[in-house]
Amino acid sequence: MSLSDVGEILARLIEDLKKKFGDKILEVNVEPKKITKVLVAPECIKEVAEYLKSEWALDYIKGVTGIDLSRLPNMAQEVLEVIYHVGSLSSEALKAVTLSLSTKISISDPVMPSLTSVWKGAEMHEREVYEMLGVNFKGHPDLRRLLLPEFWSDKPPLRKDYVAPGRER
Amino acid sequence: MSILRDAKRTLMPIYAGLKHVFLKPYTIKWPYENIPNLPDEGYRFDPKAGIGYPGSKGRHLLYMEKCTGCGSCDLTCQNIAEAITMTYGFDVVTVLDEKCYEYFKEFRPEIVEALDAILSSFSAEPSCIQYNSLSSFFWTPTDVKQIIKVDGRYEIKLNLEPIFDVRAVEVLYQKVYPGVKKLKVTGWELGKLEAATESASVELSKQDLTVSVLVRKIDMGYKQNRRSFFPSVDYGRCVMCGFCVDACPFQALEMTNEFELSALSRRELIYTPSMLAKRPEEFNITGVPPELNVIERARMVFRRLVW
Amino acid sequence: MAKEEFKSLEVYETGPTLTFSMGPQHPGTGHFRMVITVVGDMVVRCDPDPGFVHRGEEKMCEYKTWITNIPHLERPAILDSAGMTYPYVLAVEKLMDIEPPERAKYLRVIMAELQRICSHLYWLGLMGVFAGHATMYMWCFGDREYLVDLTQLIGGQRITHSYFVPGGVRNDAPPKVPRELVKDFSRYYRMILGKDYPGGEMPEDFRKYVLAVCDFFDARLDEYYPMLLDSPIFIYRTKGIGILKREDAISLGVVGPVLRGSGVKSDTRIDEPYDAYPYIKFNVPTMDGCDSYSRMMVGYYEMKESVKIIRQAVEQMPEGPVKLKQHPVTIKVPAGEVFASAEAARGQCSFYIRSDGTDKPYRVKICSPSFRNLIAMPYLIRDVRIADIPIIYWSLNYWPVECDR
Repeated sequence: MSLSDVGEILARLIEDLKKKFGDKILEVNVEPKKITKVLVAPECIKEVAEYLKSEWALDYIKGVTGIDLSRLPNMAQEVLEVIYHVGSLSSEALKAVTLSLSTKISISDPVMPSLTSVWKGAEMHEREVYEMLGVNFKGHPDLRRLLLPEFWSDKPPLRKDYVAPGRER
Repeated sequence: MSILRDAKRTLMPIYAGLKHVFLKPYTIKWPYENIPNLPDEGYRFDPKAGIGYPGSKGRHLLYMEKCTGCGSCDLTCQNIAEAITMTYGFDVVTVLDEKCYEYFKEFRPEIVEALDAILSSFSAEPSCIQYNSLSSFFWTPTDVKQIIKVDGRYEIKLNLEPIFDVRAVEVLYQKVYPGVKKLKVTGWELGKLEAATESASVELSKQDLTVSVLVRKIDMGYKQNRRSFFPSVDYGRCVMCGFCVDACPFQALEMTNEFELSALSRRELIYTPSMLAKRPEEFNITGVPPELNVIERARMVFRRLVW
Repeated sequence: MAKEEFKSLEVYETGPTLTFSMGPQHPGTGHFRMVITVVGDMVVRCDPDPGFVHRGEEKMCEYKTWITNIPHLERPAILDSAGMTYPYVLAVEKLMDIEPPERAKYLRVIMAELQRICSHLYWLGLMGVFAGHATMYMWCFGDREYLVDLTQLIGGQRITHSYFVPGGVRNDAPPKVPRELVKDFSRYYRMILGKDYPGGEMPEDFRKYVLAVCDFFDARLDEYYPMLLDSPIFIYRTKGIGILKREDAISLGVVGPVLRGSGVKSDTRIDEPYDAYPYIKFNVPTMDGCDSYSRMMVGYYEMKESVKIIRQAVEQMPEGPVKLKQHPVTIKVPAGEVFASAEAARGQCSFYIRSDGTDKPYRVKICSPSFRNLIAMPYLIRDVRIADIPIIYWSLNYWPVECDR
């Protein structure tokens, strides 16, 4: 599939999303070849995700990224961004598509609904984001530590205010 | 029929495997046999074309006549393995004044004991040193009798080859201090201690005798590198990625196909610039492998003859 | 895992249960632990516990510069270091908006496919060991040597050669192969296959030598089939064990041979072609068995396809530069974010990178294939006997380091 087709499909997808959800889509970041990101509020992310899965057959989770945006130069915000990278396998036409569905939650009270009921495969990814950035996923079936040791009592390590020992400079 | 087919499928692997009973083993007896599959050359990088030449990424080779001491390799390695350190070359010298020299000529016990202690601390290295010929070679002190007169004072050079370290103080602390500690017991007193990056000295006195030990930076006589500032590599940390070779703008670093870098202690893995400047043919760091017994030797002959 | 999802809950309620951990010292699992609950010797629950080799690669990326990240990023999957750095390099190239020269694209493909074969051989060999077939292990590792030698000729190292950089590859392939290696290989060829190399003397020219190794390896793959994969012993131990249905595979988000073993035709090299893959013809093998045997067979057929790819890439490879003109260790990456994927040996490996315009990445997220296959483990290791656990575990081609990062 050529790249223009992918771009076309994504453009249609985003148009459809905007029509359906209106103001709930806060921001759309389309950079051809790089990323297609849709930012929504944490309250309605589940709704959007269910719509994407049922109407657009985006049923394949590729990864969940959490970012601490508090040290971003020029545009620092005291928020954590959680991004779900999703694709599709059941539809042939959408195989090359990766959509990034993201949401921003405050760093002091990082709570958002879990999307494991939509994408089952997000379970381990969400557990990783939970321990690495301290995001609480409401409705996750089994929210435990995954990679870090049991005795870890410091800050979540991928937050920007955690400095790796020996790397203070 | 299916039983027959299953039987055939079961017996096929046995047949395929049986063929291999009569073949020569895959393995080679390293280090008694050479490894055939090493690339002949090491990895090099051409900074003008901006591209590397294929080759094995083994131990480094340093061209001291090209190195300017800019520290690009060090900067790159800081982000990778922190294996490269830029080091100066140092000499360790014992300085005697007129009176001490007279005493020394007469072999008076006080002064001889002092020199002995400093020398012994100098050659005191981990016990494994006798195995590895190279390190012990570099740490061997010179003959005490070589005395040079400079500005009315007499200097005894203690080291044969330059000692490479980041700061002079560290050389003083590691190489000289153990001996100085011993001397304290026998009545010597510590005098003035001067510590800087490029030179360091400590004064020892007993009654009216004064001996000072001086660590000073040497000029190795390279025009492009007046500070004599060269990289030394810690192979306990190096990951052999070769980005230091890429980073060098003067083609002073390249890699060789030598991979036999094992040593019995961590500090033997630190290669000084003068070690890095030697080609791998010029010394064998692993030393001679232990002798084979008769049975092993017979087996090797057998392997060669039969297959 | 929700309790009501377990089919075997009745057994769990009735029988006396025993919970124990498999690993991290168990030779079959590597640095990885499973907490297993059994009734008799039926497994009713498996709780994977990774993290024993977690090194914080993602945090480390934030402290190192763009190019000096490469050596440590290939450490999670040493057998498949090209597959691990490939998506990173692609992502940085997309951010910088540059395209590598044509020859570099082909060299990257050759390297990635060589590493894929090496990794799959390791998999096949260890699968053989855990099916009680030590000969397969020895064969795989013996033949792997000559492929590793090829990667050493190109990249300079046997395994972790930091070969890919944004803007191309670090060096060209050598024009000639060392005479000693050619001699050794021709001796080996004659010994194993029982015939001389067609055309007499083994070539010293690099291209022809790679083709010779491909020929040899193709012939060897045909010998592997009756040796292990067609042997009834292996089939009885793997067929019908660890069934992952097509719908489950998609909803769990598994990748690579695990996904293709469940009958889903998905391969990043075809779906989102990168570098030289669009110019090369190859198939994506899939199996409909959905069990351990299918997954292993997909791996086996992938090796055959990889040999095909290497042959085509070597024949089509144009002459020319292999790297863009740029500073070898300091590159400037503009601010932005990117999500890029490449097909590593164990499946799709994706990187999400956020750059803030400085000399270091702001955030690097690695979605490694083993991490994505980890979730399949509690689904597969359920209602099986304890003796089947190593078979299922190795059919997933799980690599603990790659999962933990």
